[in-house]
Amino acid sequence: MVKRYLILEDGTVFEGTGFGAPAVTFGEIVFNTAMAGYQEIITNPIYHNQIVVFTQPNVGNSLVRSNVYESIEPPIKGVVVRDLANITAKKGRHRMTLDQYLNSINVPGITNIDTRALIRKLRKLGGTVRGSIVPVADDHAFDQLHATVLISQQVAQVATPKPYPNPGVGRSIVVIDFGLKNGILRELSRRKCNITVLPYTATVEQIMRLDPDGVVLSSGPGDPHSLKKSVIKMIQELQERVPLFGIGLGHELFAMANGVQVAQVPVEIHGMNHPIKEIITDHVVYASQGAGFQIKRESVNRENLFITYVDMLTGAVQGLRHRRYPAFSVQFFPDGAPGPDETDPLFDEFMEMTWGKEED
Amino acid sequence: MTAVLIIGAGADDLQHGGELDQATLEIAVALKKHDLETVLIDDNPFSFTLDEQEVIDHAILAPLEVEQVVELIEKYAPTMIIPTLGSRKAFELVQAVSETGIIQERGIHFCGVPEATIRQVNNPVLMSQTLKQLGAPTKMIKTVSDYHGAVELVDQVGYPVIVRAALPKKQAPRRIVHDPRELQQAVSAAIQESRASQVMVQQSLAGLKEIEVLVMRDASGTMMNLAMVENLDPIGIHAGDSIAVTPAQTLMDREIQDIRDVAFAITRRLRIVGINHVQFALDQEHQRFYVIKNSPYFDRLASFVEAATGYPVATVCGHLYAGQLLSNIKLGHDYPRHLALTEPVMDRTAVRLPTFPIESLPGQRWELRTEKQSVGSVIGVGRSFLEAIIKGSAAYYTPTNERLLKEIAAFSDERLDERLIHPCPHRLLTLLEALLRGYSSDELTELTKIDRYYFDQLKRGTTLVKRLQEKPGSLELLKQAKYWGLSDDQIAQSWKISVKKVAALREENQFHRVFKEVDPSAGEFDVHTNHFYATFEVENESSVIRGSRALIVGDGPRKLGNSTANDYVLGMVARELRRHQFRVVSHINNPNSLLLTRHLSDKVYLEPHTAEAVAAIARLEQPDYAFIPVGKQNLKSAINAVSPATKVVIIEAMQTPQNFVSSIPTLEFNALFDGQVVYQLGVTGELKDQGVGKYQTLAKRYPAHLEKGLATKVTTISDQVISQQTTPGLYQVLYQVDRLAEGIHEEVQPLTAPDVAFMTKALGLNLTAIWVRLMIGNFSGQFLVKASHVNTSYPDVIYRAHFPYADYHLTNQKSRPATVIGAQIERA
Repeated sequence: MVKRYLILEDGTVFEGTGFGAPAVTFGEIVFNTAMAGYQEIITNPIYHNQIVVFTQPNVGNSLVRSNVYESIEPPIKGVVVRDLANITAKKGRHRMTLDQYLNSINVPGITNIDTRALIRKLRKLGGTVRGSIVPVADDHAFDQLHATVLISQQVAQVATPKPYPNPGVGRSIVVIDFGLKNGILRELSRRKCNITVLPYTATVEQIMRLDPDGVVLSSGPGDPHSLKKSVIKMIQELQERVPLFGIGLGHELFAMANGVQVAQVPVEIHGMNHPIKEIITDHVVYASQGAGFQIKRESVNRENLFITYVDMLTGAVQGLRHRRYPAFSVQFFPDGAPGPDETDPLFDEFMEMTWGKEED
Repeated sequence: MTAVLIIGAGADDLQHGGELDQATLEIAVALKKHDLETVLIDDNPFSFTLDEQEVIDHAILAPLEVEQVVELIEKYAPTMIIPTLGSRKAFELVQAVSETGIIQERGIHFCGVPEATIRQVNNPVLMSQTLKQLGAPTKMIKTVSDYHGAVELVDQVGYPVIVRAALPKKQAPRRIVHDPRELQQAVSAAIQESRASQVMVQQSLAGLKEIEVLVMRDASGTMMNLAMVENLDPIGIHAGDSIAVTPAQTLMDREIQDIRDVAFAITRRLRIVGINHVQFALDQEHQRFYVIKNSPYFDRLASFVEAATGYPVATVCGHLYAGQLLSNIKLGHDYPRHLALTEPVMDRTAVRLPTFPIESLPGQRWELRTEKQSVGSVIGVGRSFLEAIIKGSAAYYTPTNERLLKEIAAFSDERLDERLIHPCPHRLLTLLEALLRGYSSDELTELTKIDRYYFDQLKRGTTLVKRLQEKPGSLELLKQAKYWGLSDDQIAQSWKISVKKVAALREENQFHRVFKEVDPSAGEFDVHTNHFYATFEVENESSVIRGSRALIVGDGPRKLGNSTANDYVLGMVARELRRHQFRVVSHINNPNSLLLTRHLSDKVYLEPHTAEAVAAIARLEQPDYAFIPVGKQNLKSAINAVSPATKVVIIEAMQTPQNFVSSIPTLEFNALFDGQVVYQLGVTGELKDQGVGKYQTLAKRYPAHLEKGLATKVTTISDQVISQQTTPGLYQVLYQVDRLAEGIHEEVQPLTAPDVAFMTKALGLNLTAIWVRLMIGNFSGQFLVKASHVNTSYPDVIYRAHFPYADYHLTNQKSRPATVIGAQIERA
């Protein structure tokens, strides 16, 4: 194992041991407090441009498995863990270790560093903190880090350029790919949906030509402001014509399409332990969260929208519903993977909305 | 004021101990915050909470029986009863109380569990019906009348299955069968044994992974998963005897969520408010799992989860019992808003290791089974699984285990194989020995059914030990060894040099441990539990606590002999020190210790009781006093080396009572000696059970009601013997009384913890508090005038010790003080 360093733009250096690919990458450093599901987290396309720190110290314990990917080509920039399990693959199975897997997708990792000190540092610094995993922590490495400009067209980097089907025998659902987490497809497939995934550049005509029973706006990576105005317009037109379900970035875009302002969060929240209140019932649920942006509560136009979910720890709005159209959205990931199933019934609710369309 | 009746647990036994006292104390503290009137009934002399008048308004020393509880209900008119702090026994008791009709008549509310749920928990048949209705997966059981019926079940679940007679004529055995031939034999034998000619065939879950979940629910239906604990040993070995780890290490997220969903569904169905402990058997190969047990009351899991996660489990339950919801519980300025509602996450790993009374029960043939045999447990906390388990295992490398350690090292390979398949106590030691001998992870998984992940991790440790042995003095290896949790002691052994040299080398090279806070948010929020653990990393988070401070070193895992009485004394020491404005810093490794509570400790270090750990704490805290259990005197020099001004006080009361076997009754003269004056605390005599006509050992009565002549003689001799002692303290002089009623002076010894706890209750005088005042130079004899007055009469109290022999299936055992597990106190 080779010595590697995690450097932060404020000059902090953490010495550790490298694993995965020997590549040098740059990214925003975010942390995830989930205690399981490292493979799902690492492969979630929301981590474009980001280096993820796991607060749970033991990572890699269950190898990498064929049925728990959340994307095929994860755009994550790096993985930081306290203790990488040195587990040997079982005889006769062709499962990769996390080290082998990251190497195969050219993503560097660093282990044996004081991740708790790192997280306390990130919290103290606040805002976006960029960092890099490097073989030598010299001036040159810092110069490069400071000079780095992270790609702003993040959705374009991860979304599919071409439509593709995921056939089923039930409702016809169009998923608009702003960065698509497999969990969304998994939940729709479980409900037998006949899915077509379209690129985020799809026009209303292209979408409506498929005569969908409902449309899902997927979870993305990145800043909703970096997308073209045409996307917002597309959503505005779409919500009048077809049931809509926005998740993550899709939620932020749905909000913007209805005049709500979206801003960066002070410290990104990634995990699954925050109490989220369902406003209508006062019921508390837990869900997988991972957001760099949140909608500004005061900018929600109550004539068009109502707030459905609120994070009780941060006060952040976690869900919206349109008052006139069958359209709603959530900031968290109701498909879990990893994370609790408690908000999974939102997919059923979406299905019910699409039944409503049929009866018209 | 609204009164709440708390049902105690009675004498400690193999199933429960300090964890219930700990939870009761925290819950009582929470109840008092809501101005509730607390009534606690218990007959456990080692109960700390019974003696804590700050939070218990009415401590009722009475047997845990229906008449007593009914009497209390009539006297105090409680509107609520808490049945979750007295183990399963309390559930049975409150159901019996309920059957008298008084609960319904008075509209009394059970905190934590509705009455219907109590009935289900008490009746396995009802519970399994409920689980079936819910669709919760449970193991398959079928009643058949012939071989063909049995084969049908086997076709569904596969071998092995368990066969036993339905409605057996006499006690019938359980037969585990592995093939059709065995099945045929077992079925025909069981049919013969059955009054109904019927046989129960059930699926065997032996060998599957055992997972425990702690769910919290409030009256509005909000539910949280506080922790998931994975047992290393498979089903077939009692979860309390297995090494346990949290968070779960080898589970996929999908498995975790499925288990969570079922645990929530059960908790919702049973309308539990507070905690619910659900146990599962997980079959990862076939992607199936089964609910095996549901216990909605406090037990070892709740304490372990509280220590490991930093989430105040019992305190939150106390607020829920007082009628609050999770969303409006306020935990004080050290916790962010809604912490009670935030599922704890860990940036550390915690391991619980069971400890067994091997030296105390030489006659026992040890083999781990489905019945619990461990008496105590320790917690190891670290930043990796390996560090946590190695830190925890320091409790195994003690002088009392020396023989066992040598034995394991000398095992032949065949014997080792046998011990891997049929596990014995201190299982970790056998596993490490096998790894040192070169067994592969796959082989060990095959033999033990323990997930290979754990062997891969442990192997890092054994490889490190081997490398240390090859390269004595290597600084690089020293650094690594400390990083992975090895103690100076273990390194010294590998290098065959003294521990002092290792410590010096470590100091020279600045390999210092840092302390991290046990934070339920894993660093996301500003949370201060004031609980810390050490690791060898970059950032230290613990700074010296302000004001006068006293360090208390805990007793370690519960042991036979003094059992939880030692922890009782430690709790009282902490309480008294706080009353004298000391900030209490506790150094403990027992997750069930009272010292884990905020009520008693301002700060806690969850660390092994090694000299290097205590030195690191003392170096940082520079305490004014350090209170150390007798038997750990070696820690004194470690403390004074780094903090010379610290006055170290040895707690003599914590020594195990001597083995004092005698067929003739014994008298015990008890007294406090302040260095000059002997204050008499009365004489305890052995109890003569009426009708039996024979003296019962270890049942005693206070006061002894001596003949005048004997009383004078005993008093005179005792006074003389005690005044010759060199140190002040609590003392006991033992006498044998022969047939002629002549007292024969046997020995003087410090009053031991069980007697301190018992005498405190008998006299209504806090002996530990008085002793602490003596130790910190704040003693006044005035307090004792009443107690030492010759003509004062005391209510007669009886103390009966309990022994665990029946649980171990040991017969013809002599009752020895060194094997006591619990005790009962009652008014004569």
